[in-house]
Amino acid sequence: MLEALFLDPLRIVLAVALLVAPAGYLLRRLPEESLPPAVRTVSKAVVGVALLIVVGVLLDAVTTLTTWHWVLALVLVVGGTLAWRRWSAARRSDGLPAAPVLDSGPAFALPAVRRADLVMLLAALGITLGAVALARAGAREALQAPATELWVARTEAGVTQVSVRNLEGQSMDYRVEVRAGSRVLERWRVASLDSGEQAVHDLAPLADKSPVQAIRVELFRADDTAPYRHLVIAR
Amino acid sequence: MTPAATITAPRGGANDMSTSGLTAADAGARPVMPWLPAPLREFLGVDGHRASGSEQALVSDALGALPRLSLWAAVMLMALAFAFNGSLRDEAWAHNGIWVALAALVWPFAARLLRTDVSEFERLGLLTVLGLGLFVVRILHNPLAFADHDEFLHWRNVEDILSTGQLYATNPLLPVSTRYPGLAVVTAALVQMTGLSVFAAGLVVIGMARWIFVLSTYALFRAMSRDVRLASLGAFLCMASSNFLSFHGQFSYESLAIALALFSLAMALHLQRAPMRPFLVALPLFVAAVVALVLTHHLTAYFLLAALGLLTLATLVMDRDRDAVWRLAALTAVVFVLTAVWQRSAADHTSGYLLPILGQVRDRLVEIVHTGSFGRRLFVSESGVLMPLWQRVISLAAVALIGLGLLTGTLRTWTLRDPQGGLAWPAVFMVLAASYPLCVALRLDPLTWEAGNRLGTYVFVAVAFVIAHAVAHHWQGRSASAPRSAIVACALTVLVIGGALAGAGPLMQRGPYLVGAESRSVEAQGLRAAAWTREHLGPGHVVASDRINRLLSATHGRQRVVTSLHDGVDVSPLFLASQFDEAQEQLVARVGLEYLVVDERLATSLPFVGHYIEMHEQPAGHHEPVSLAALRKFDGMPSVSRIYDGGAIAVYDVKALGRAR
Repeated sequence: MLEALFLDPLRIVLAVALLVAPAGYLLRRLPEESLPPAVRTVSKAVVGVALLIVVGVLLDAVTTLTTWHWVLALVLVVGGTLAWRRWSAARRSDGLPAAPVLDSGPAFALPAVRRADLVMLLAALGITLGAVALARAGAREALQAPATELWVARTEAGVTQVSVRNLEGQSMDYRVEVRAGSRVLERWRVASLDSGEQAVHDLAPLADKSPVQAIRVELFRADDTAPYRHLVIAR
Repeated sequence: MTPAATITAPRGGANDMSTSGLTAADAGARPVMPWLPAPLREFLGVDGHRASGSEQALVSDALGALPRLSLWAAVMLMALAFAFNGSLRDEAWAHNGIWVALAALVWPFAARLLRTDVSEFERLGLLTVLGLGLFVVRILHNPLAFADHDEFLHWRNVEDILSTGQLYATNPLLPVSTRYPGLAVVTAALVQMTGLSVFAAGLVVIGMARWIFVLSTYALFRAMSRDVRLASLGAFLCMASSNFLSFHGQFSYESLAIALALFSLAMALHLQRAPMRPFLVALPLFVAAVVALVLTHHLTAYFLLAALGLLTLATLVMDRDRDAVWRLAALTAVVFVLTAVWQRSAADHTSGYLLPILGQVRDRLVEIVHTGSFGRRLFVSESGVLMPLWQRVISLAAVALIGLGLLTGTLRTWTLRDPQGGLAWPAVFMVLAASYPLCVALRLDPLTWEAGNRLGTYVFVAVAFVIAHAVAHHWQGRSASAPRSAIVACALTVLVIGGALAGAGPLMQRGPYLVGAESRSVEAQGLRAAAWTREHLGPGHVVASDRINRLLSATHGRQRVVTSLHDGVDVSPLFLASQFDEAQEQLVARVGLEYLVVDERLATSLPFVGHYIEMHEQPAGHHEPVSLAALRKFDGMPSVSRIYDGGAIAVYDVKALGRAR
């Protein structure tokens, strides 16, 4: 279940907190009544987004974007704000003018949440997460379309390798033929290759085997007569 | 309505009901859907207006139907998950089931918001739940990874930041996007600080943007009308935009930018009216939002600039409020300076990206005016797929309802004015709303569709505001009539479904692979081939492919794909021409092409979006699918190796072709 929900739901909570919390802390400076209720509600998210964007662009200008640089930058921003608040409070206590106090406007009173309401809200959250998990399971299943992959690659040592990967969802028997024109240069079988498994075969040096331009590698399923997959190696 | 009849909530009572508050007439109303069993009506909160004879009722029961409708929405999301899974298996019931569940999700919210006895807190909760619920629909549609075209463009930007630690890397899929790194920066920050995947972090960012969008439209409309019911209906109607469910649910820079723009607009209205001290305190919030916007998306920043400029001009001419004009002018100047500074310093080739597109639209419009014919058949995809009859009917009904809403809402919008005496904001919104038919007309041609779609995004905010007036004052008015409420809620649901059909249409269904059909073309074979290129070739090779496999190669494969936007060349002849000729050989050499990813399924159908590789690959349009022979022409060609075969998709090594010249 946890895996179906992006491995770690706590990380999502942390991500939301990172978007909202530093900005929310900064916005504590704003008197509650200074903004319309809906604007004040979303302003934490907006400032959180803006903060990350600006910090990111500035970080890029002086260094690289890494986890520690992000953390350091955010600590500096929030710490700087904290210091400013303390300085501002001390300034007020010295008799200097206080920060502006704003006219009051409409504000929300959070309603009392009844137990039944809470149960329904939690149930809604649970069902929604279940819906996502169900959709993910369905999408994963759709990605299991049976297939076989055949490819050729050259190793650092200069050896040409032909690889077969079975993704058919069941154990498979394959036969591989290497041809130069009508002449078969090599032939081998891959027996009982389990689904998800891969078989690799080193080709003998091709240059010695054929005078023709291209070599064709054909993969057959079990006793099929027509090739199921094929490759062409130009020379 | 007389002032004496209005029940105004106290501070904390969450309602400002100077125009649509509770009245004595609200008490003792009949149920909205009398034929539904009473417990279900009660559960959905559509059982008629409760006799709340005092403001206290609104405060003590402020959650109202929010928990029940949240639960209802969750159950409908579960139904949608089943329907999407059925759709993946191509089960017939599921294709229509998706839309039925979507309509069932939306309708109770419309019915509830129409009522006059709902607290502001509950309205905001309902809008949040519905807005995020419709975002979850997007997640259910593509629950494993980004799968829509534009999502890949921005995913690539995030991956580049994560791998290099730097901004502004080259993105051949959309070069200009790296110069507007806002979305990518926020997403990369969340990935780096939480360990989330890019997909999950992207969903958090876009989900947050969705929430900002919904509440900002509400705040804007509320400030303009001082009417919580009208504002909530307006915010609801914004969800009827053709882009709300699909395009603005995507991981795309415009999805974040439009939310920031709407917040900025709401802040501008607030700042225009606020006393000086609150103005100075709240101004940094506006600047922060604009900075984020300017660093996120070019067009949306221009939209905000144009809107504020228009509002300044209108205020100067119509309201003659010098203080308001100066403030709006100052805010406009802030947006202008920030936009200009960023564009000059870091994003100087934005105009090189946008102007040719605008030029093409202009040329096409001139052609349309001369010929009098649009190039698109209504309700038919470029691949010839006709929308089902009921979808055509709903789409036409939605357009008709928008027309009716504009007709009936415009006069009301004008006569109501801004409650604080201003005419400018309602007037500008009315003018913008009046341009909506132009947006619809632009959507009727493939070459102007994009312009109409993008313009419509912004214009629809004004359309929603005007239609909300029509709904709040004419369609439903203050009536508590059950049949009327039911019909109006149905009309609002038709608007949302019609918008979703216009935006997502047949692609809302999951199912088997379709050629050139955005997320419907992203499936196992393409993903495996892209992953293979990364695993066995290594990243950064120069690769050419069709529209979909190009996206997969650039993101899952981390390859340097060739695009006309970045390389200035059109590689479509490599795939569409029946024979390999000298011009193609020159092309291969010019871009240093190393690999071709060829999908033989392209030969099975016309592309759903009208092109296989580049938009102008076939000026007259495709009339038959590309031939299999054209796609297989590299097989056995001297100097070309076919190095991967995954079934329908093959990878060719063409390095020697370029070297041969």
